[in-house]
Amino acid sequence: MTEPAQRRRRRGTAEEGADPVPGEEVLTVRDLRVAFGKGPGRKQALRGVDLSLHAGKVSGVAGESGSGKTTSALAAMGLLPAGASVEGSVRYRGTELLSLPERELRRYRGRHLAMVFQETSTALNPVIRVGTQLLMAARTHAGGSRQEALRRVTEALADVQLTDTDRVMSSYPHELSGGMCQRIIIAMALSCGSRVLFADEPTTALDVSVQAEVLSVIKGLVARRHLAVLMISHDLAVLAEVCDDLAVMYDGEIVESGAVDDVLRHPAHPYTAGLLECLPRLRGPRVELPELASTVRDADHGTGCRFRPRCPWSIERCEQAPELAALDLGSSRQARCWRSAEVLASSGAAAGSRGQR
Amino acid sequence: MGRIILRRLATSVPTIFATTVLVFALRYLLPGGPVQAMLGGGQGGQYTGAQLAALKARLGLNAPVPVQYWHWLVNAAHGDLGTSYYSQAPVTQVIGPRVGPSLELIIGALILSVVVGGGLGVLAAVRRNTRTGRAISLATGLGLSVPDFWLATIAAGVLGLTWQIFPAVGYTPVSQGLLSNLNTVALPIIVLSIVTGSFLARHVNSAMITALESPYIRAAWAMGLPGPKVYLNCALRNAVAPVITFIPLAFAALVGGTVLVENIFAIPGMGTEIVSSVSNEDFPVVQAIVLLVGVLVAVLNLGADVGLALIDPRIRNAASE
Repeated sequence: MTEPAQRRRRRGTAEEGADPVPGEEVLTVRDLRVAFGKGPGRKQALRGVDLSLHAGKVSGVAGESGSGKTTSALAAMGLLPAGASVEGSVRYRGTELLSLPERELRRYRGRHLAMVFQETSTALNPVIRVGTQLLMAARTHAGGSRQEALRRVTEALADVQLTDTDRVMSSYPHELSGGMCQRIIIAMALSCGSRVLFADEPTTALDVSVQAEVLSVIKGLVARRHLAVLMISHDLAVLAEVCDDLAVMYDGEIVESGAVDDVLRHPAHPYTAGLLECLPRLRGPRVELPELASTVRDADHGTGCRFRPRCPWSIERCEQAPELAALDLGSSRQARCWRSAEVLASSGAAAGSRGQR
Repeated sequence: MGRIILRRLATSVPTIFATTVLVFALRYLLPGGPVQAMLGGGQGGQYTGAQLAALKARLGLNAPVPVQYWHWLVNAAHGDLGTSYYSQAPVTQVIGPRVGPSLELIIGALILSVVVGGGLGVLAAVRRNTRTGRAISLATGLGLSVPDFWLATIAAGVLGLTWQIFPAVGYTPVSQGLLSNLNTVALPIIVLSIVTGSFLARHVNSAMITALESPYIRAAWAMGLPGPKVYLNCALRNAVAPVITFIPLAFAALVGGTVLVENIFAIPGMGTEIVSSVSNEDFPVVQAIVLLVGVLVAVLNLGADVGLALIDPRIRNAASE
């Protein structure tokens, strides 16, 4: 390589900074508000979301369609459509991303933050060889050096357990399985240097055995490369398997958060409790599965708690909107419900009965 | 790839064969007949029955029609397209000098349509929902709705006669200088490419928008690829297919366009020739021109299929299964 290329590469490395130490808070989202459209048709998609991602940890976001899970990730990446208005703060290792112009922000995408989507078969360009696509992305972030890009791509493919590098690189996406495509996208993010990975339903389109394979790849990367992952899913089983922390979203706000086991075992918000009730159980008596009344979109949007129209626990006080408040547990549990203590107490009993199954 | 070519050839050959049958049947479907025409123009001409019979025998018109067709086909395959009834010269000599100017117009208009129309289509997709995008879509909508005969007349009148920017009529061959040649064909080429260019711009625009809104483009943005790479390396490759399928269609449409434009701008191409041959009932010339166009369209279709397979590996795989 020529001298200028090497200089570029060195400068590029300096910009990227040192690798994050495990546990470092790499991404901090505060009071993120997103709205689409203008005037009377304006739809508030996020109403003040706080999230923290740590190196070497997986944070989960659960919630049904339309709750704002994907919007949160897209907003943090700066990938929302032009008509969206975004307020709040997204800081990546000290840099405020929301105020960066598109051109500046583009240098953070791939190199620092990457996103994996639900579509596996169409997330790769159908008419370009996988290797060409991988190298194109890696080269963008490797100072234009082809050799360096190739080295990073080979390394990343090995990291996602794709060892048959030559065959994978010379294939077109339709010649590979969905699980392979998803791992290739993850490898692409790695080869670009990403430290933060937004994984938006990455396993939803895959069958269960392939799902486990992709999840184990992600877990391995978190452990070895200290990747910070935001795992978005409506599948509580997937979240329970890979996450350290979990936030449950409802209609554009977080209604409950905490360590994943605590939240799923002892929900403190009626919505979380409702989601868990909907899960089928393998043992115990056969019962008809309960369902949550209506959907987010049908709910009447007055003032007060947004879950109130569907909530079996609602009382008069719920006409005032509750804040996301810390629970009296000594841990980092938070819930947005006036009656969280009662919900928690009853879910404790439910968890006890579930322990017998 | 060889399999694709073979498969397409297998359908192209019958198409061309059917074209020749239709072309040959043409002369028996039209009123009057070549012999009457040659002997002095349709009904009421001054000729005797003996003259008629002699001429018929000389032209081989006494043989059964399938035999006549077979002779014509075999000769055509050997490059002998017969003799013009009107000028008595071999048809190849009559048509030969006419092919160049027409192909120049058609190819020029195709290149202009693809470069300008395709470029505008891409630009309108990249700048969709902005003023630029809307202006382009308005302009192409206008271009599609303007009839080409009207456009040609206005262009010849205003740009050629009133402002005298280009010569209004006439044709200078390339052998007399490229610049003076381009000067004479510029206006007809622009007129021809307005409709095809607008059509192509719209096609490319919608294909490009489909590509830009696909998951793989969103993924490309998410990996931080710079704009030009996303648009040109990633999206455009998926939007090229409509351009390739469009070329044979545009060629066929442009052949029709040249008939009109050549007559308005007085360009000695196949378009002017076919009009005079039809009115002279000079069937061998008409047949030869229609045959030539048919073969060219079939060849272009073949080329387009090969081109599609070249850019899209999924088509290649499907064909080799």
